[in-house]
Amino acid sequence: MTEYTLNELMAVNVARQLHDDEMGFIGVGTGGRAFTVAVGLPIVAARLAQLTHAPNFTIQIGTIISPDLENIPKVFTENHITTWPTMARVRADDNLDMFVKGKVDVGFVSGPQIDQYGNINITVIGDYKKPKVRLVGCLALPEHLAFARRAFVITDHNARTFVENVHFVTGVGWQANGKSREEYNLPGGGPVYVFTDLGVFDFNGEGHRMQALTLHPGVTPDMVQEKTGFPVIIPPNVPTSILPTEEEIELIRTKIDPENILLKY
Amino acid sequence: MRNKVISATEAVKAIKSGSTLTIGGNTIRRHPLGLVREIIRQEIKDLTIYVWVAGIDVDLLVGAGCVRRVEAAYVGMGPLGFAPNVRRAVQEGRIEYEDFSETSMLARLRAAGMGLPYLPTKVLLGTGMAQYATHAKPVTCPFTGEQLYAVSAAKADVAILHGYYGDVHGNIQWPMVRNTDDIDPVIAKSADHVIFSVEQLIDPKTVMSNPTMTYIPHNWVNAVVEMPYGAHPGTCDGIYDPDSRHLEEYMEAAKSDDTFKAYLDKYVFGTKDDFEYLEQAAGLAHLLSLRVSH
Repeated sequence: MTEYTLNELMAVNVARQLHDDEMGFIGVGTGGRAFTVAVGLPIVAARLAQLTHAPNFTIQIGTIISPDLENIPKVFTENHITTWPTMARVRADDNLDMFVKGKVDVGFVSGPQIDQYGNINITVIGDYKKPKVRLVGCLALPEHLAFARRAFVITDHNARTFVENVHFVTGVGWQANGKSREEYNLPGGGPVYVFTDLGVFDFNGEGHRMQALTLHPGVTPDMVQEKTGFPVIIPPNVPTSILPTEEEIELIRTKIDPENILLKY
Repeated sequence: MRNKVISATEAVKAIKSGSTLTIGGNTIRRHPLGLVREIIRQEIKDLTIYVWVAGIDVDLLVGAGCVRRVEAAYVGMGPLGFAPNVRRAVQEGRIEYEDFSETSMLARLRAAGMGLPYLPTKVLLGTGMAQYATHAKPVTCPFTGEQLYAVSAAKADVAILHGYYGDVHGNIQWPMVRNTDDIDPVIAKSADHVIFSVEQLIDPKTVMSNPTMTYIPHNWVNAVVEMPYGAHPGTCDGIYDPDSRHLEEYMEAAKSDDTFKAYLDKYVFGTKDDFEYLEQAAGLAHLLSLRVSH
């Protein structure tokens, strides 16, 4: 049996859901674990998809359109990002127009609060007018959930993140404030998968609630429920997540991320 | 053709306490921080700030008590995480804050630049932005009947921006290698009065023979200030990297009001201009070590 790390398992599960000819939008991210889930994992998954079943899958990282994934920067500091070989660097306003128009197939998102309908909060913890914790704002998270054909959520699983109700709806999932996505008439596909360290989830549960699609090896339904702040739907006999093949692990370790930069944390 | 070069001290006098201000750059990239430090020195207060994806520019102004209200898509320190002064000021109720997303804040700044009172957007539908915003109202499309939100023009009295190169007339040029993740032309169009600091003044003849490198033409610009390393301790992409040594000191100082006051006393109030600031905060040898080549 192939040995793999948890990050490699997550990356493989993301990669298998990417289709040929799609474009994925990855943010710029911060450091540490937040970098891995928001930037590192999506880049590895995208490159893995390119090298296996989706040769024409391409990405944009902010305004960097289709960068050379054979030459991923060794460090993501300013000048390395600025000089990364790429097909185009467009202006941010042009880039956002195309996003709103529906030209992003897969939006990779993460966030400190997610509820059972896939609403995501990256804005405040507590009361909006006098928050307990002020977070960063909204960025393009609302656009990812409103306009991308499919939004993929990647985050670690704990009860502080998966909450009954988000404190602020930065991005709209399948239902917010008692109204459905359809009623809001949002053009994009919304959040379709959540990839965590425990398993893969979708929003095809009753009433578009989050349900387990697969659980990672060794993960039990009780472990998932314990780390989720709302009743998570776990079908009986839920299958095990896709396990990485030897070829996939070889590609990640020797070709995609040989210096373990993208999946380090 | 008029010469628009003036000192930072003179340029910043156009910004009045209680007015609205918009700022170019992105997170810790290419903000006009030399001009920001001069705003702090001149003790201009009660500002309302309209920004897109902002960072250390707004954090400095908030930390110095210059700001009454912020309207933005993001204020953070990019790779360094949260903006400490802004976070504390919001949590303690000292400043007002209104959130927009990247495209809705862009729409507000664009509306200002187009001379329109508002632009429509779909992105607010169902969000907390729609719930709390005072600058967004539901509207129905007169053609399709679709539900949209109108977001009001964010028209600032003054815009401050940092450019790579500029001539004395206010033609601002970019280099071939740059990070394009900003909306500086939109910011420049949105305000009544536009002040540019530039890394380097260049010969107008150079501009005349390379006019496609001009991204902001002179007729949009009211004042030009030559401020080498004017984006320090942030980066001016293509020219120098962020000063991580000073940014660490900044993040440490910004952890409390007292330590940040000491930071401002040392580096801003304790220096008469940005040349003195750069000597104090970095020194020539360290500044040169930040230069990048490509």
